[in-house]
Amino acid sequence: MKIYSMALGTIALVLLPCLRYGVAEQPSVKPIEKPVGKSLVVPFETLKSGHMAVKIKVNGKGPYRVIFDTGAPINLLNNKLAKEANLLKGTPTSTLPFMGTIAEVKVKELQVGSAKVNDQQAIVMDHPLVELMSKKLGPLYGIVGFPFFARYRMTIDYQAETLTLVENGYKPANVLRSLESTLLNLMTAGDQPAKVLAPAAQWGLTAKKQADDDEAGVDIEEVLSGSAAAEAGLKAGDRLLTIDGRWTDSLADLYEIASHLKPDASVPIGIKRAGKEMELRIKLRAGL
Amino acid sequence: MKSLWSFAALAVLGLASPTWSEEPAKKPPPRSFQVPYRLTKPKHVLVRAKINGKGPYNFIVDTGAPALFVAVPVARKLGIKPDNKDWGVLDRFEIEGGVVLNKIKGRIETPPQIEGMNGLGLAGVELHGMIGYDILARYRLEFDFTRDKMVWTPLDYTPKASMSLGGGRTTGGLDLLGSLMKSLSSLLGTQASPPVRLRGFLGVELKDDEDNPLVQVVLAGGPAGKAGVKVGDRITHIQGRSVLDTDDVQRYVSRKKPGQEITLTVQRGKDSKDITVKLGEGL
Repeated sequence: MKIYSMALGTIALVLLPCLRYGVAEQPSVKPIEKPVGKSLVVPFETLKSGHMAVKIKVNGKGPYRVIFDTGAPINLLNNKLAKEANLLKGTPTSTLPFMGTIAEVKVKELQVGSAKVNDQQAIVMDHPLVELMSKKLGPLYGIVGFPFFARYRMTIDYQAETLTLVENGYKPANVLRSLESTLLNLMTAGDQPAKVLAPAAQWGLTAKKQADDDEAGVDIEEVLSGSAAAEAGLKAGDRLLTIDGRWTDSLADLYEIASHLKPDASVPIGIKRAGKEMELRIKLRAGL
Repeated sequence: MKSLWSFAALAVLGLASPTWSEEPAKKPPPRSFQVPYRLTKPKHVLVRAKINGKGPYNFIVDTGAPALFVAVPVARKLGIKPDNKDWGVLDRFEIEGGVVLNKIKGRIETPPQIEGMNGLGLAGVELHGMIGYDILARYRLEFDFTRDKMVWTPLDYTPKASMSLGGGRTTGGLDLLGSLMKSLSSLLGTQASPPVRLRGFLGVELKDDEDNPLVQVVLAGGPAGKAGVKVGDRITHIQGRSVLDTDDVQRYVSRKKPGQEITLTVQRGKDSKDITVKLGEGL
């Protein structure tokens, strides 16, 4: 079995350079025409399996019932829908057993409830799991995920069975292209270089964490006098638990969080001092 | 074209085989939680959680998953014993930002997609599971990628138990994909999380204006202070390369580790002076 998977892996290795299958680079996400701030309410159905289903229209065709999946980086539409909505015209395709035609397509207009978006990326294929669910739960034509909902501030309410959508101006990147480049980097790069965690502002402290210490937080070792940390009231010996609601359980956590906080940012920090938890506020400075 | 297949598999990450749950929801206190999240490279919404006080572990917020999934190695490490249907009880599940659930059931199972993504290091961090319907349905959930936190508001609502659709772990070839990606990783030497290192520390506050970056404060006892950097110095070069602003200083210092030396060229009055600083630890 191991040899079999290794062989498959090798085949995939050989196939990976074919990743660019004819679709030109297209990072364009068109600016949204509608004004930001209008709130749309889209009803959903909670399937017996616990999944969410919504009704969509594809280039005006439909409605089709699909799964709504926050864990899906791309939209997925089945062959029946693709055929009816004429999505495969002029698109390179291939066929795999049990999955029908497979292609990457761009949907001119995707409508989910009353929310319409243009130029949505999707993959056409019959996913075995969606087909299985279809049989048990009624027709399901695919999955709507990240490229759609990323355009909105979205509130999911399972009790009311609604999605509330407000355009937020976010422009999602092309997931397929970025995954391709990740994979290609894997192919070409040797060892992964260490990621440097570089705080973006000056805090004025040093911290430590012993290897055998698996309790929450890190120890503040030194607070440099006159620094932002000193001004905030931090003291050597404090246990730093959170920064802006984020856990600081390792030095890597601390530096990672600090890498996102710019000079002049003012953030709450949670500490433990002499067994008592308290909150301070630090205003960061420019420097390093 | 195999690649399309794998992308498609990623699309249904968390569309794991439907399962059932029998655990009723416990009513949390009615307030909102600001939950920090991270968007991974494959655009999954990742939150951190501690299980029984240990962790943090990385979970994908996934309405395509019917339940909470905890990877088998994590459960094993924490001593959570699954029953004969692979359910385990978590005494305490705390999501970063303050969401706490006690005595909840989770699937002790490593979905092949998680295994595959970890194998290839696609997410950029190691993934330990998925938070699905059983838990998500107890909250009103706000996603907004222009903000750096999600908002979870407890609902006075007990989600209906989700139904098993039978078919057990019918994952439509995803098992195979998971092991394929995993075996690829052994060929490529990839890791779930790339190694990290901390940059060194100077101990100066800087100001940007039309000239080179100006040292505004030298922190007493900091590495730059010990090496003789003074307030009013302007940093013109680092390691012989010219620097124009604080970002340049950041960039060059980031290449060095704590304990390594770095040479700053500073303008002090009319003089130009090279100062070698042994970088410290700190921020």
